Amino acid sequence: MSQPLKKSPSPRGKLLGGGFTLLLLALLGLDLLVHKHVAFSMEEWFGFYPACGLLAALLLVLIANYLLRPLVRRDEDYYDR
Amino acid sequence: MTASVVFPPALIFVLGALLTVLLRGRTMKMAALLVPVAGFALLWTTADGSYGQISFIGLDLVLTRIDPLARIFGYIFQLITLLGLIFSLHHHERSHYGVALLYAGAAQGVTFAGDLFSLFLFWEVLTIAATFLIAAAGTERARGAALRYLLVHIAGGLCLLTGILLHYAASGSIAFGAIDWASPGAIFILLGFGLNCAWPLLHTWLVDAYPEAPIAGTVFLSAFTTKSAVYVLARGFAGTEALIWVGAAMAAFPVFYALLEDNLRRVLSYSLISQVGYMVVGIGIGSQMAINGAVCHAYAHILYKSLLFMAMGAVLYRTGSCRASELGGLHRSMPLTACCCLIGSAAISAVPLFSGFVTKSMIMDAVAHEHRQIVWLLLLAASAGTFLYAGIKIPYFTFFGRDSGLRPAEAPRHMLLAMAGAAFMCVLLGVYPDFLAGLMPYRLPLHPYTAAHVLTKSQLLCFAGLAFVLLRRWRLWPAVGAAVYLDVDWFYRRGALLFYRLADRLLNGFNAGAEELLLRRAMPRLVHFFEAPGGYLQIAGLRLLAIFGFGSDRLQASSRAVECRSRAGTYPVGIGVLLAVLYLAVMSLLFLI
Repeated sequence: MSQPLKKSPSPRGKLLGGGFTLLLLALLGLDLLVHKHVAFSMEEWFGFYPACGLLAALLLVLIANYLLRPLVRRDEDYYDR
Repeated sequence: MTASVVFPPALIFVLGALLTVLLRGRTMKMAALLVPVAGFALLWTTADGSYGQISFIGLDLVLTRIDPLARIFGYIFQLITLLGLIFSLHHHERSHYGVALLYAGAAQGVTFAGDLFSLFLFWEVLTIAATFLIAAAGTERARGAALRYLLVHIAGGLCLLTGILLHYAASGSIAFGAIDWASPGAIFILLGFGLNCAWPLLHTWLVDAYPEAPIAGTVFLSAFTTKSAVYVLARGFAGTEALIWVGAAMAAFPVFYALLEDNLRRVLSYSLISQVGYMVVGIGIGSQMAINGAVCHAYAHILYKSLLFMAMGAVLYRTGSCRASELGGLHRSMPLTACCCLIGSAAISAVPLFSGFVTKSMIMDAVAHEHRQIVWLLLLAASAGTFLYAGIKIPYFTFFGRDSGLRPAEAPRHMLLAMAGAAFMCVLLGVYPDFLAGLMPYRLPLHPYTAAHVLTKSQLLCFAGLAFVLLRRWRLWPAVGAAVYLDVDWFYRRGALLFYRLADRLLNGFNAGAEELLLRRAMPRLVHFFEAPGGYLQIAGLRLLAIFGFGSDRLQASSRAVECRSRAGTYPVGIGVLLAVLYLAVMSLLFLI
């Protein structure tokens, strides 16, 4: 889940990237510790919410960019013509 | 308590609107700001109940019906009117304040109407005031969008009126309460409400008009029309199963457009529809928990959405653009606006300690409680999408990211004050949920801050954030740039053009054909004929006789003789006589028939 982030030349960027990676790892780790009151069995799977967030976000952007965009994109003056 | 018999809250706003027309300058602005404060004082001091019952053309009207459901909407509408007016203090024209107060008054009227007749009246005032607010931008695009807004909403209003008439005819009551959606007329009422609520396929007026309105106008627009529709749905159609699916579709589909759009005010407009989708799901479920969630989410949403529209408005005011492709790095010169925008983004993304976290959890819990797994997953995915476009895209492309080189001044003080007020409320609702618990229509315990809630939400958001980082790194994030992304309004925007061209071809074609036939061909021949009508008739008669074999050998000689007589003017039959003979012939023929 925690792929190395884009290497930034600035030390501040590195610090941010490192901090974010640590945060993600910590959130994954806590998944084992915190007890959830589940309504659906899938919520109990390890890493359900992280996977859901990552996959949903990736899928939404890819569908928007590669399926919807070619279908509906027109020049800005489309309705003025 | 008798005060509200004389002064329903809506009337205070309408009188305030009239007052602003009479005043000018600073006095007018102060008077306008006092109106929502007076409205709040009135509502605060009035107990629940029905006031101002009058009989009108045989209908029992209830001008003010206050109960917990109406009260929470009344309060938030008054609060956002005040913040919106503060935000718009750079406007000097009286009409802006007048129309804004009229619009806010109509929203109060809808909220407190106890009967469908007065509800309909205020509903129409909402439409008209909103049209003027949109057109006030003065651009050609804004005028076009305002006209389309008016046409679409008039159609919706007529649908609602049809429903109300059928409902009244069947039930004999004009009171506004829960309506069984299978009862006569209910489907028309539902569709009328749904149009203002921006249901899928009925939503394009919103994304068409809101980004074209003036920056202060959009703050009011984002609050009243859709949320008053949420209120009437919650009162009339709570527990209607179909609304769950309508709401789920509504929450999900705008995410795609919001991810693509370059105009950040249009991103916010799509996001508005998506957020209202959560409320519609809550209303569809209809349990006390779900209605509480829908209403509280509306309360929080009005604040964070107007905050985001204010922040983008301030950027547009200072830079002249609110396009992702033209902005970037503005935190250097507009740090306070950036800070307010980040708070709004955190609230809409449901980050813990901000308002959206508390209210969105209420709806998600209500959905989970009913074991509606698909809807729950859809809303979860939409939450991740919301974080991408509102939590990251809007602040990142405006205030951070690539440096656009723009160094505009910080937003004017009155705008900062309005944004700070809304931002404060976003944080207050997040850190002190009991504030909302005291306003909810149903008294239920509210415990949003369990370890599991905070953890799962943080996981969802942070890993959606990771997706953003990866997509940017892999260059898969949609490229920004000016474009139009076609939506359902294509059918009427292009359809109208097609109809116009078809009508042009058909009617003007007929017109041109008739002109060619009558004016260019028939007329010269008639003129030619009437130069010597008797002669031509006689020649025609001679030709007719020749066909039957009489005098065919002398035809040419006889014709020449007739022509000679005509030219010499010696022919005895003139036009007058000819017409008289023709007339008599026709009359005798008719007489015989």
